[in-house]
Amino acid sequence: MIELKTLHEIERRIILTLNGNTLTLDTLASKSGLNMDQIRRGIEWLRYKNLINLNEKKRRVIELDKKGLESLERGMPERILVNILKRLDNIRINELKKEFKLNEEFNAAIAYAKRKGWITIEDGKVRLLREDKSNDELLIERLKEGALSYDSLNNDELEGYEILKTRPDYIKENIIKDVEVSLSSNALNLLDKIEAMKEREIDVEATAPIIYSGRKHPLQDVIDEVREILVGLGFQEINGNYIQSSFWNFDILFTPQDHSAREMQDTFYIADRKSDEDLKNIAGRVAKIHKDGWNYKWDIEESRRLVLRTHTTAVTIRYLVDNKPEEGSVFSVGRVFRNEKLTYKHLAEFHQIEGIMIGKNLSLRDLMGLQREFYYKLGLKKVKFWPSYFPYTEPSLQSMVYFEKLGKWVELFGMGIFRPEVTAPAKIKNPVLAWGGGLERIAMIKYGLDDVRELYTNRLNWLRSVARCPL
Amino acid sequence: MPVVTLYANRLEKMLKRDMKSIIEMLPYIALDIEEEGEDYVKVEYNPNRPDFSSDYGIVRALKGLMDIEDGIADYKQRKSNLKIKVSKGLKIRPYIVSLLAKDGSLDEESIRQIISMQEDLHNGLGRRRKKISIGIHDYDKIKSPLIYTTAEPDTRFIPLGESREFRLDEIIKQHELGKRYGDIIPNTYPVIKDAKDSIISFPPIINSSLTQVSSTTKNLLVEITAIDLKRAEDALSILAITLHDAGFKIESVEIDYANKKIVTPNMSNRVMNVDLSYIRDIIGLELSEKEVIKALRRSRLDATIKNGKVRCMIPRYRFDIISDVDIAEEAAIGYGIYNLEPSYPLHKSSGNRDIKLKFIDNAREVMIGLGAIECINFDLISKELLHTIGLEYKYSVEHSKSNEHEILRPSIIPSLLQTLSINVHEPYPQIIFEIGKVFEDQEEYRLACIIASSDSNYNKIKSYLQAFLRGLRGIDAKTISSRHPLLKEGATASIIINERLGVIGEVKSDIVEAFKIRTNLSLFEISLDKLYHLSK
Repeated sequence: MIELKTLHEIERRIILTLNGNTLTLDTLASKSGLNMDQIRRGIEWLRYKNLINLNEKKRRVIELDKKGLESLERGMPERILVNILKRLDNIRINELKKEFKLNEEFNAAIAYAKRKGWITIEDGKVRLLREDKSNDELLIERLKEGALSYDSLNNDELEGYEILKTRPDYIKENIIKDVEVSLSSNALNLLDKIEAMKEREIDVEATAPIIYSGRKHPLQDVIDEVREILVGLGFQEINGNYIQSSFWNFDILFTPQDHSAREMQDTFYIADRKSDEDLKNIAGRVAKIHKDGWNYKWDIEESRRLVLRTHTTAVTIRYLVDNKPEEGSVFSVGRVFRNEKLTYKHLAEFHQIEGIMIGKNLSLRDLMGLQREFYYKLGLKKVKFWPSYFPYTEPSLQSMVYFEKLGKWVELFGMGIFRPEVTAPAKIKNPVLAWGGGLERIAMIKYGLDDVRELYTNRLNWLRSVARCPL
Repeated sequence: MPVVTLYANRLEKMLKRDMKSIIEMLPYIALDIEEEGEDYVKVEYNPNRPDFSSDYGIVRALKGLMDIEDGIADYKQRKSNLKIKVSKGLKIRPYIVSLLAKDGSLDEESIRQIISMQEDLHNGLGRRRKKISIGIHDYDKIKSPLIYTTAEPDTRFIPLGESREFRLDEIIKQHELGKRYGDIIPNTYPVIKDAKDSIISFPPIINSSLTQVSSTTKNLLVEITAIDLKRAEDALSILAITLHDAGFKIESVEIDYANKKIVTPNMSNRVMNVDLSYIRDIIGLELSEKEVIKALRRSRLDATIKNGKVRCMIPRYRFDIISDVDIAEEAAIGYGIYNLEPSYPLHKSSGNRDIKLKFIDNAREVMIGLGAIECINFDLISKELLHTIGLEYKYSVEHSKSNEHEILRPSIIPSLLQTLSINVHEPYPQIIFEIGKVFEDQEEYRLACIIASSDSNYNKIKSYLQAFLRGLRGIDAKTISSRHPLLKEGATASIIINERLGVIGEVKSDIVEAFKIRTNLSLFEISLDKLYHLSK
């Protein structure tokens, strides 16, 4: 049995309009106020639900042909003739013919005017008797609006039709198949209930067509979340170029020029280009620190080689050198590069977050506290710290964070206090607490990905389906 | 990072602790656990600690933190009668240092540990044997004294692992190690020969088979040749302490350079004086003098404190300690990182976002408001991709490990075409955009947007461009007919606001086909840097 709740508004209106009658689609449209497109759709649905019967019916239809249409415009030939006689009655037939203009129709006009009893011809002169509208003229006027069903003609019109049929090109006749609709017995039984249904009740439970919202990339969501946390913790955002000289990426950070991290197999060097930056006095101070600490002759040309930054620290240290703040907190989130083959856990380009805090009396325990606070705001409540090593920080730590979602500890950010070999040539006096690491791992855990490359594949079925604040 | 394999049976024997508590302690001497097996763990150690290149060094540090032994590790050496004469002709690799390790015995695993240490030192400190290379020999096969000199290319000896004699130049050209390391000693053939004129080593390439070490070897000769004497002595100190810990008696060797004689190894401790307050400030804790001394001893250093000055003794093999801050770190590690309570810094500052990045965030928001989906692609793309679409590039990288990452993209459009190409089975319309760096004339931020749909055309994309510019900047741009290698002639324009900011148009059908996309594409790309710097 049919579920009435699922009746569409169009279906409901069709049923109520039919209400025991049998109607053609046209009539149904005009009576229901629906357009033909809605009617066709509604009929299709109702037929499928066995609520209507469809019948095909043949019908004779007449409409005006070429001459009929001409007559509509200027009158039938005999009418034109009569109109002339109204001005010039009792004129000679050849003069009348001259006035008439349409030569080939003249004989027909005379013949029909006589037959209709409008004129008489005596001694070669034509005289007007009367000019009442004939039935064929009435029919032509009626057909002005378009085709008519033969069945709908009255007696006069039927007479007019018989006359016009004998004159070529005045009228044409077609057989048309009409579809007639009536309610099925099912529908008739339900009519009361359908009538009782509220107006405009639609199928509110059905799934609507799918559209997609515009969306920020899920990785950008993580980036923005982290940025918001850091701004909240009082950090100021900084930004810098991807292409850096080796000086800012390595040398100023006390990384010796023969360090393995600087080799081509780890770092992307830019082909055929070098930095021509004037490093002023700082180059000399860096040369001395490298000589004292690593026991070799520092080469300024090597420091001019351009690299794709291997860490955002290149941007941070430049900020410190340019601004020499006594205290402050800055951060950056940005892309960094390593010459790696892509695997499910390694990328050649990824995002790094890095923050520093500079100020008097800042200590290793402060750095640990800062880190713990940051993780806390990310919703990660359990943190532990291990010693680690980075060429430009001492002491150095790494942090392990417990992810409830995974039920395990995950290594996240590294951190440390900038070495005096870094801060002294940069003329920075107060301790600089620094920490940072890749963001992709957090994103992978957040979105449940096993393969880090997925973050950069841009599959639309994923991008379109990731909820912003999923349950 | 280099890896050391730690076997439970060896560690439990050396430390007299169970493996579980040993493993728990490993991270606190900065070792990363790479792999845990039934009877072993593999750990990565940091390049500043080459003394961790064998389990002996790791055990030495663990003894401190596990309160088994503290202070500077016990070490003794005697003088031997061995002399090595250095010939004047050695220009390229002029230095040699050496030691003897006597009356010991090595089981198979000990040999493996020492060979693995030797390889790590070659690669790390030695920079792939360029700066130093190490030879370890069965001393009983050698007749002293030795000479370090150069030889003729046609000199012959049987290299380690071979069964016939090779000429020196033959080794360089044909032997695997010769091919790998030959460049370090161009056109010269340094050799170490004994009193019987037998070649025992052809550094930095290979030893002689004559002096091969086995599990029956009792007495070892270690020689290190180098271009840097300090580095050679650094490496030798690690071998000395390690072989000492492995049960050998270490004896020094006299090296006779033409102008001076030195005795190696020199294992004397260094002294560094550090302010006690500095250590306290770095850690952020008012440690007592006793605590600081104990912490440093647990890190296998030694110290006394007088008048606020810490006099710290550092064993020779801890040459990674160069500044006061390194002592502070040793104190922190010795105190136990697990004992440090984090404290949130009392530091006033107000945070804010970068102004330009905020602008870019706004650009992103407008695009999302237009219903577009953001994509993130790599900045490095393949030459092939650019070739497919006929775009030029100006920035490339050297020696990329993958041909997918050779070129710094001169435009975002190729990346987005690739994105559409992998999404041909997803419902259309697809309206995607990306904000990112491009490297055309210089590094700049751009935005690109592509509409992929059956009704995508110039007018449609221009509506989006208009809406974007009005939504972001409240302005309109002129679009003036132009040409672009990717875009249809007659349906391409430059975006102009005072100057040229970008391009807009319909994508040529052969490009669309090249990416196997079966609908129409129209796009625009615009410089966000230029849009940012616009002024009224």
